[in-house]
Amino acid sequence: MLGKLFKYEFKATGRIMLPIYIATLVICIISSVFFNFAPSGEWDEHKLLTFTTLIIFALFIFMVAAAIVLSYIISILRFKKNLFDSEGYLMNTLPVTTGQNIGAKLLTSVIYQIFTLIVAILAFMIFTIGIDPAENINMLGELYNLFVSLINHMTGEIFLFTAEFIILCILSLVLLNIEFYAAISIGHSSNSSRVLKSVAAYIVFYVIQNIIDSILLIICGLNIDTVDTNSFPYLLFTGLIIIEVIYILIYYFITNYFMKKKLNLQ
Amino acid sequence: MIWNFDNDRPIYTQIIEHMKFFIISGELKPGSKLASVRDLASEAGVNPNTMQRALAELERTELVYSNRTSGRFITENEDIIKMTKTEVAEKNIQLFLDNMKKIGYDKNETLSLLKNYKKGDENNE
Amino acid sequence: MSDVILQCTNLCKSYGKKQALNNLNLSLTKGKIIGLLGPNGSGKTTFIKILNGLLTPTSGEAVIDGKNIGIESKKIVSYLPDCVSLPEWMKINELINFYKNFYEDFNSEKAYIMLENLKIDLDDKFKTLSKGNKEKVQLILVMSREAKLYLLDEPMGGVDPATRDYILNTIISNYSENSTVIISTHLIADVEKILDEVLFINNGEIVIQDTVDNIRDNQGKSIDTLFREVFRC
Repeated sequence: MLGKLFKYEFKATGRIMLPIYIATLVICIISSVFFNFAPSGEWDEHKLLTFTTLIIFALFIFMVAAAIVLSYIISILRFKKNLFDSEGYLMNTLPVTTGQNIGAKLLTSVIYQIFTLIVAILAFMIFTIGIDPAENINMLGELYNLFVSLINHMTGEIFLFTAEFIILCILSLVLLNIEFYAAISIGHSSNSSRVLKSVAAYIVFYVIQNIIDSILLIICGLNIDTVDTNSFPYLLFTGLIIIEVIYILIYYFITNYFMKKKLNLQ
Repeated sequence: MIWNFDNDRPIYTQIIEHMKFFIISGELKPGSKLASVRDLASEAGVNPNTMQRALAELERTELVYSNRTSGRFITENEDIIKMTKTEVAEKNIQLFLDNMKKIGYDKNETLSLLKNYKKGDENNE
Repeated sequence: MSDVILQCTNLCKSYGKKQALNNLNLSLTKGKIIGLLGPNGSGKTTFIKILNGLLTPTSGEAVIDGKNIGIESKKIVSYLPDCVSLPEWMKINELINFYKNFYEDFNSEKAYIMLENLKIDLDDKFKTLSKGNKEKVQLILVMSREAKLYLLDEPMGGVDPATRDYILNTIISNYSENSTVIISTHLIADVEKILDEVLFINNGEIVIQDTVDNIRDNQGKSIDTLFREVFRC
């Protein structure tokens, strides 16, 4: 059932994200082309062309930023629309658990958010290549070789470090989404001002989380002498991972509880 | 077949009345096959349980008979149909006489009113 | 095999001080079309939402075909909400596949036939349909499931008389003696003809449970008339 829910959620989100990706790549190519034809050095002589090139470049940067931001906004909007607005009558009466509904949204959101970052990197790579193919393909080639040799020279330690770092990044992504979901599920258990209350719930979460994080930081700081410098990074990362997982579980339980017991469709 | 129901009387009795009328008026020919309960209910716009109850009653009074494999049929028994025709006619007459009584005419006055009544036959000329 | 499709015991639902359902007790058998009638605020919607799992009772229990409210009961309950709740972006074809994917008892053949009769193009997006057609499509999907319990919440609200007839006809033609249909509605006069039983609900309790024939026989009134008497303002 989770697989089926995921499939539909992936499709529904893809309908919105795909055009954004295409638009980003198109602007990237156009911008790159303009840069190619924009004269170097003699900016003053071809003011219109220069101006247009700059505008399109700005648009390109804007599209990339917008795409990344939208990947979060869409995640939040779809969670609310599909589960708490009128579609909620359909989704919450399906023979699936609340957890499966939440899981499908979470998985889809994280995947698209990572994918958006990949598209952003790709766009910049294409742009860079586009400006000066010969030189830049070379440069990218060298970067790639550097990357490969890094991996080949990776010791067990560095591998562990990198793996923990990647896990931490993914967990942060999951945490970001589930925190929004928890806020939405609380705000929408109410009869009025649902969106306002969701925002308020999020702010409360944010504040409390920051307070707890600060306290933990202080505790760490106080105990820092007991830790040996070599293992410090790994301990730090492991600690962070544990904390993130705890936060994620808390927000998940909140979301699950409010969707199961306090669902208030209107 | 036209179905018109009142909401203040049980539907199944009204279905029985409708069916009797269709049979004696010839709209449903003797020996003809009836549609399934579901189809009849759908056509009449009523609950299939109600239609079933009415058909069961019609079977009991032998206006309709059922053949296990091929479904329900209108009886071919002319006598039963004639009896039903008389029964319905008498019901209508009684209703008419009751109404006339309410207006203030007794049976004899009603009879002479009927004899002198011209309008009804004008369509036949 | 028990004939009982729904058993509610001391069902209560309260919101703070407000008591929406007040020790509701009810037993319904299979193969019936039942009208759930009551004024606004009587607990009709709360009751239906508890049966389809959208709300959890404060106390008491509801058992559908021997199953507690949960995933197992959702598999055998087909629910039609009083608003349009299907994703607007999907094509009709995709909606059918959606239902087929999630509900084992979904009969797509039935759905295709009904949609064809209405001349609805399967390739159309749901959002392009008129309001009336949207409601019909939703009804078709709900009635194409071979469920044990159908919960129809105001299926005829806001549609023209011809559409109302179509809806009643769809309910009748999909009748099965293994399932029960509960119709919650205000349009009593329209729906009386197809009901086996009626439930009058008020202040969160069932105040009358009887067959339509009994009421008409014993009281010589239509359900509509009785309703107006019982719930006179």
